[in-house]
Amino acid sequence: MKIRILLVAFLSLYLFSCSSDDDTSTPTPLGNFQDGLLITNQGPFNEGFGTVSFVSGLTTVQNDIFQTVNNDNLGNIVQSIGFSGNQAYIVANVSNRITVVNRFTFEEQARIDTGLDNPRFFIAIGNKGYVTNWGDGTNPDDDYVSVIDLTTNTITTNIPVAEGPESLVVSGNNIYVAHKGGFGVNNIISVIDASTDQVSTTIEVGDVPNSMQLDGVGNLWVLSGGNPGFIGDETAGSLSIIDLQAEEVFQTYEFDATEHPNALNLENGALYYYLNGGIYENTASFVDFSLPEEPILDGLNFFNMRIISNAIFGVNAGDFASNGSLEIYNLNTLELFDSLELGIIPDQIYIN
Amino acid sequence: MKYLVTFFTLLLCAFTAQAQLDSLQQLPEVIVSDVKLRTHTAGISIQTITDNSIQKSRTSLTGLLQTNSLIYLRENGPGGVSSPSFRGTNAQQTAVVWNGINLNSQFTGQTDFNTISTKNYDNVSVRAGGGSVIYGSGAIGGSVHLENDISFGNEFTNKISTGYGSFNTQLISAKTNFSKTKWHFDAAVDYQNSDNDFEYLDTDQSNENGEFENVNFNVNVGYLLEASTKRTQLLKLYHNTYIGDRNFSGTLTAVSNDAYEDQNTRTLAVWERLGKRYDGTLRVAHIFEQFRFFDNTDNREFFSIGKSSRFLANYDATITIDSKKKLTLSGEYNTITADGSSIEDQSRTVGSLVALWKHTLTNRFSYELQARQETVSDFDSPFLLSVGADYSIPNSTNTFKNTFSLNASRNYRVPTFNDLFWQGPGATGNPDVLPETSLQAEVGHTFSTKGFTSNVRGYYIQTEDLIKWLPDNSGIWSPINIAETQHYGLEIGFNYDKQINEHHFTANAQYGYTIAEDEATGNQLTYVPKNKVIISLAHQYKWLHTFIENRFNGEVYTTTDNTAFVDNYIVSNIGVTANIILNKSNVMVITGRLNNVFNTNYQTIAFRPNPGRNFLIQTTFTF
Repeated sequence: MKIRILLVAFLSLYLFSCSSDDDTSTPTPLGNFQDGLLITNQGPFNEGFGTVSFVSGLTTVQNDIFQTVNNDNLGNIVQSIGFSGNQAYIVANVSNRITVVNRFTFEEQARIDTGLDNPRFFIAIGNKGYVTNWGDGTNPDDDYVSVIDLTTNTITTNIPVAEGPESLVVSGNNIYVAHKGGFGVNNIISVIDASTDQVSTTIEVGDVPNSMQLDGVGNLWVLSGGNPGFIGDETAGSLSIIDLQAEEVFQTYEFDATEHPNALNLENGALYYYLNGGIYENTASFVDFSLPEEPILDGLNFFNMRIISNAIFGVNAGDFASNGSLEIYNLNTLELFDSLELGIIPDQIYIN
Repeated sequence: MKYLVTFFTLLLCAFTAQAQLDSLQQLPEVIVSDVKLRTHTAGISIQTITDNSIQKSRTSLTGLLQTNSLIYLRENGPGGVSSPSFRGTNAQQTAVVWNGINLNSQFTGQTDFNTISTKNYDNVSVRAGGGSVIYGSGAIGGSVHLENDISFGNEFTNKISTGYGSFNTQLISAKTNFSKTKWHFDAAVDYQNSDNDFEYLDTDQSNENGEFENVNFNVNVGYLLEASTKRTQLLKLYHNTYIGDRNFSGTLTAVSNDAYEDQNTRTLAVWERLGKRYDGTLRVAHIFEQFRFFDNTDNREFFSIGKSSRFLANYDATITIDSKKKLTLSGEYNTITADGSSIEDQSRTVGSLVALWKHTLTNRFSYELQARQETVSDFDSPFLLSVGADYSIPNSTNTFKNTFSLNASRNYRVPTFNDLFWQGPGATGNPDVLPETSLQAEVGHTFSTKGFTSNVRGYYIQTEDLIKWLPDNSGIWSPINIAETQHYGLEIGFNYDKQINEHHFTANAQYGYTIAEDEATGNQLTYVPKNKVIISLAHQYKWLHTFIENRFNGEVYTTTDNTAFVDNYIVSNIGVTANIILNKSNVMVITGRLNNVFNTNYQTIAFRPNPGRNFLIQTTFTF
C-alpha cells in the first residue's frame, strides 16, 4: 500500500500544481524500478518477444527493462504480471513460461517453464501462486489453474476448471477466477478455496467476464463484455455485483445489445469502464447505482485502461504492428497530460 | 500418406514393363497449356525457369524462386508457411497460376509456396507486373505460372529419382511420359519428408516440431481428335493432387506443437479447336482446397478446418482477322462454395468477360489492349484495363536487337471468404469490404545478342483500398479497406552464355531495388527488402556440370514504424551434377548440392532461423 501512496503523491505532484513540499521523506530505494508503473507489452503476434516498460514520474519511460537488466528476453506474448512480496511473476503466453524477477531491480531469479499450457494470469496467496491456463485452443475441456509453490517455483498441482479462465482476484482465502472463455465464450466465476485447492463453487455472471474489482465492503464487481457479434449469438455487456458472503449475484445491470464494455475500475469511490472509445464514470453511491449514459471522454483508442487517483492511463496499441503508446489524461480536466512511447501492443498496467 | 506412395509406385511399375517397346525417338510438337502466357506479352517481362534448374533445386516453389527470381519469400523455415512479396506487394497480390487457372486460396487469398511441388512441372514462369485482366484476382505484383506440356509423337520415357539430405530429408519421385501420334499421357508422383530438426546457429536451440511430409501427384492426358490442314482439334486433361502434413516449428522465443494438413486437388479438362481464322477453347475445371489446423499435434482429435470447392467453365474465342490482328473474347463462370470451422457454408458466383486485342502494326511495333469486367455475387468488381506495347530495333545485320516496352494496367484483389465471412475467436469478417485495386505502369528495355541478354525495367504501382485486419473498439479484429501504398523500383538482369571449346559457361545476375511505402506514414512496408541480388554461375564440361548460386537480401523491417528489422544476409549454394550416359536411352544423373556453404545465420522472418550448411544428394535414372 505504501507504494501506492507514493505513486498517488507523484500523481498529485504532476497533475496538480497545488501540492505542498512537506512530504519528502523517501525511504531507501529498493531498485531502479520503484515508484512508477510497470506496463506489459505483448510483443509482435507471431514472432519475437514481449517486453515490460517502466514509467516513472509520468514523463519518462524505460522500455524493455528486462532486456536491459538481464540481457535476455521474456518470451513470446507477455500476457500479464502477478506479484508476491518483492517478486514479480511475468507470464509469457505462447512461450508457456513465467519469469520470476525482483519487481524493483528486475533481476531474474527463476523461471517456471514446465507444466504451463497457454498461461494467462497469476495471483498469489501466501507462498502459493495460481496461474490460469487455457490449454489447447480448440479443446474446451483441458483448461486448468496451476498451483505453484513459490518457495521452489514448481507446479505442485493443477486444478481443472471450465473453459477460458482469465484474470484472478483474491479475497480472504478465496481466489475468484473470471472465465472469459478462451477461444470460445464463457460466463462464470470459479471460486477456488486456497486451503483445499479445489473449486468450491461457480457463480454465473454475464457472458465474457473481462474485468473484476473488489469494492472493500464484501462485494465483487464483475464487468462482462457480452458475446461479440462473431459467434452469431451476440449478447449485451453487463455488470454483475456478487455478494462474496452469499456467493451469488445480487444485482445485474444490462448494457445495450451491441455494447461490449471492458476495463472496469473502482477508484476514488467511483466506477469507470471503457466502451466504444469512451470512458464512462459513475461517481454516485454504489447503493443507488445506475449505468452512466454519456462518456466523460470520447474518441479514444485504448487497448486497456487504468484509473489511478486523478489520472487516466490508457494504452494505445496503434496498428498492433508498431510501438504503442501510453496516454495519460487528467481525470479532472480531462485534458491530455502526456503521451509516452511504449513497446508493441501495450496491455496491462501495474503500480510498482 | 505412405499408402499413396506405394499405390503410385505400383502404378508406374505397370508402365515400365512396356518400356522397351517404343524406343523410337521423334521430336514431338509441344503444346503449352497456357497459350495466353506466351502470346499476350506486350510490354511485360516473363522469365521462364528451365527444367534443368527445377531438377537441381529443392522441390518446393520457395526454394526454386528464392535463388532464381527477385521475389522475396517470407518463409517460416523450410517446410513452413511461405509467402511471396513481388515488387513489394503482399502475399495476396501475387497470383499462382496452374495451367492457366488462378490457384490462390479462397480463404487466405494467397498461395503457400511450400505447398507447391515444382518437380512435376515442365515450366515454371515468373511474370512480373499486373496481370489481372487475364489471370484475375491477385495478379498485382506479378504472377507465377506452373505448366504441364502435352506432346504427341512416339515417345516413352520414365524417370525415377531419389534423394537424401541433411536433417533426414528424403525425396522420391517417379515420372512416366508416353505419347503416340494421337495420344499423350504422363503421370508423376513426388514425395518428400524431412525431420527438419536443424540447429539454430549460435544458440543451443534447434528447430523443434518442424517435421513435414508431402506427396504431389500429377497426371496429364492429351488426345488428338483431328489434325487436318483445315483445323486441329484436341482434348486435354490435367490433374494435380497435393497432400501435405507438417508441424509448424517454434521460433527462437516460443515453442510450438501446432500441426497443419493440406489437401488440394485440381482438375482441368480442355477442348481445343485450332483453325486458320478461328481458335476456340473450352475449359472446365474443378479446384478443391482443404486445410486442417491442429493446436496440438499429439492430440489430433481437436482441429479447425476449412474447405472450398470451385467449379469454373470458360470459353476463349480467338479470331485471326489477318496475319497482324487478333481478337480474343473470353467468357468465364465460376461458382465457389466454402465451409469450415469459422466460415459457415458460404458461396460466391463470378461471371467475367475478357477482351484481348493484339495488333502487330509493323515488324517493329506491336501493341495490345485488354479489358475485363466481372460480376460477383457479393460485391462490386472494378473494370480492369491493360495496355502494352513493344518496339524492337534490330540492327542491319540482325546480330543484336533492342526492344523497348511499355505497359500500364489496372488490377485488383478480391476480398477472400475469410475477409467477408470469417466468424471465429476474436475476429469477424466484414461483408462490406471492397476489392483492393492498383494502378501501375512500367517501362523496360531488353538488349539481346547471341549469348547475351540484358533487361532493365522500372515500375510504379499505386494500390488503393488495401484490406487490413484491425481490432475495433471492443477488441474484435475485422478487415477494413484502410491502407494506400505506393511502390516503385528498378529491376536489372543479365544473362550470359558462352561456349569455349567443350566448356559451356552460363551466368545470370539480377538486381531488384524496391521501395514500397505506406502512403499515410511514408514508411517502408514490413518484410520488403529494398535490395535483392541473385547471381548464379554454371559451367558444363562434357558430362560434368557445376554451379554456384548466391543471393543477397537487404534488411527488412518487421514493424510498421520501421523500428525493428531483420538483418541483411548473403547465402551461397554450390552443386555438381554428373550425367552418366549408360546407353542410348538410359541416363543416370547424380546431383549433389551444398546449401548455405558459408554457414550463414540468417532469417527471412524475424526469430525464425534458417538451417546452416546442409546437403542434398539426388539420383535420377531415366530409361
